[in-house]
Amino acid sequence: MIKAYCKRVLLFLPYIACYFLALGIAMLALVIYASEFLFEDNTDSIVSVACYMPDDDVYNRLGLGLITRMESVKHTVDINMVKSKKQVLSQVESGEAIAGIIIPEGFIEKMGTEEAVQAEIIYRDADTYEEHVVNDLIYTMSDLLGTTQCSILTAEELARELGEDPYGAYLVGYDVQENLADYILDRKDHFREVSVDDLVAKYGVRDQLTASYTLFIIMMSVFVISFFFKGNNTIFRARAKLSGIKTWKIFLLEAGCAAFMMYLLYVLLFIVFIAVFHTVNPLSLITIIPAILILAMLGTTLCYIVKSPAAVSYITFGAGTSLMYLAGGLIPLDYMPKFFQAAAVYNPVYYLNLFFMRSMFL
Amino acid sequence: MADPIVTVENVSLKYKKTVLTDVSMTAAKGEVVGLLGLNGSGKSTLLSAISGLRKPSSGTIKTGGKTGFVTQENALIDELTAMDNLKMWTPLSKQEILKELTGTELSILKVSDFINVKVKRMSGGMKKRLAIASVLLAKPDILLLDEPLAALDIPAKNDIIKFIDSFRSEGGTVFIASHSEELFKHCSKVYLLKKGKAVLLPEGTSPAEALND
Repeated sequence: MIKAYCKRVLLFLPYIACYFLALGIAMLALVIYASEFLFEDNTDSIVSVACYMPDDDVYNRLGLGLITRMESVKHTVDINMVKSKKQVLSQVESGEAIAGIIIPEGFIEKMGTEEAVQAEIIYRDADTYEEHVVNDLIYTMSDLLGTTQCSILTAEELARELGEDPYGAYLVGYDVQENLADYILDRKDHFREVSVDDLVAKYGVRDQLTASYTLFIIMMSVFVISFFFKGNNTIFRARAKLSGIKTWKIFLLEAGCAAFMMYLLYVLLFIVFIAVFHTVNPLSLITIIPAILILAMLGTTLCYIVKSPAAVSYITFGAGTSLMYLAGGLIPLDYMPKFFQAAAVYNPVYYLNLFFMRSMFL
Repeated sequence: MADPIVTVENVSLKYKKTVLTDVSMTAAKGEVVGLLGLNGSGKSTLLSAISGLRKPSSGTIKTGGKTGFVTQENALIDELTAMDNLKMWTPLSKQEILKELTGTELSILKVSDFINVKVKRMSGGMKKRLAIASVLLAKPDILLLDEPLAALDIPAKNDIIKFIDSFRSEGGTVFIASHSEELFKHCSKVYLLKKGKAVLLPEGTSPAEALND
């Protein structure tokens, strides 16, 4: 019987390949474009940027005043001063601010010295062209802030020294100009781009969608695989019983075959994701196995209970799609009503989805 | 009369509703027993009970040999060939299976003619022949056939009837649940199942008349 089932699996592979081509490519297209649909609304109006400056001194205030008066910034960016780094992260994470700037303590004083510290520009994953433009603008704005602060420092140092010793003022001016030149030449080193996802969230929208669509494709494959259980009706089981074969042995054999076919489907998807995104964790080829085994067992159980392949397809599409939607598998939970977000924790598919996400993008 | 190989004594069986009530019958070696009845009269249930698949709610069923049950629906896997389907249920090798199919009474079924054809490409008659052959490879002493001639063409019907006669002449016992008058001509005795009860029909009774009564 094992040989016969292995043969059946081989005969089923073309069906699996056709299913993959039809659904996999459609889902991939959705994964690529979905995040653009989700972010589109944020890009047409003034964006909010959270800014934290621990040193409330003249340099920072003047620098900030200068850039907020710039025409390009004034009509595009709304700088929202916050009182802590945590607030910056929280605003960026929640979407209240599209990006955040964290100026560390002693940023100006330590500039050009060995103790120089970097300012951080916290941003959400830019998925659309407009967001890239906004991120570039924020970067430039921060850069200007640093330049302005250095210029003010130069002017102040010069003014002080000029009042006392012209030669000393020359030397200080020379040093400060050197520092300023260093700063301008190496200004990229003074800033560091940090994704908010690296700090507060583990996964980006694209990761979430990729993982959940992968799960969805594999869940829906029960529809294709259900034809594999066509012989597994009451009559087939009766025949097996009369031949002395235990029902649970057939169940395990069929669940094993289903798991193999689902795994093969994942391998195909993995190859495509690696080719397109380059980010899928290769270890997921191993870590995904328990989830696939669970799905195969559930699929086989469903086929045992329901028997008719047509009924299996109705249930898989009906219940599977609804559960996936409620688990945030089709649209991320962050974009769904609060009620759905609260209810998701009671949905087993939510945890299956998390497992897929962690396995694929850990 | 020879010792019965199958004895059904006061068997009652409930499945959601009462299907069989106090059914008794016997069959000796070499006998062909016909089970006649309308749809839902309990013919298939009785065959299931004799095969051992269903336990009677009360009463006893004794069988003196190995049973082979050919169900109304065929327990075949569509994507596989006839040979693959046969190999699923027997430890015999390909050569041994072919030898059985050509060198014994199974040759009447002509399964070797389509041994490499996939089930999904077979006609109803071919599937039924294959299903019977698949059960017969296990060498049963008692063969239970549920509607063996349903939706078959004339050559297929003739071959299956010929096979039943051959199986009987070799000492095998056959139970047939059917509506076919043609088939009952080959039965040693016919039981009418009505409202869950089994009544032995007197010899010469027409099945059609018995059903109309």
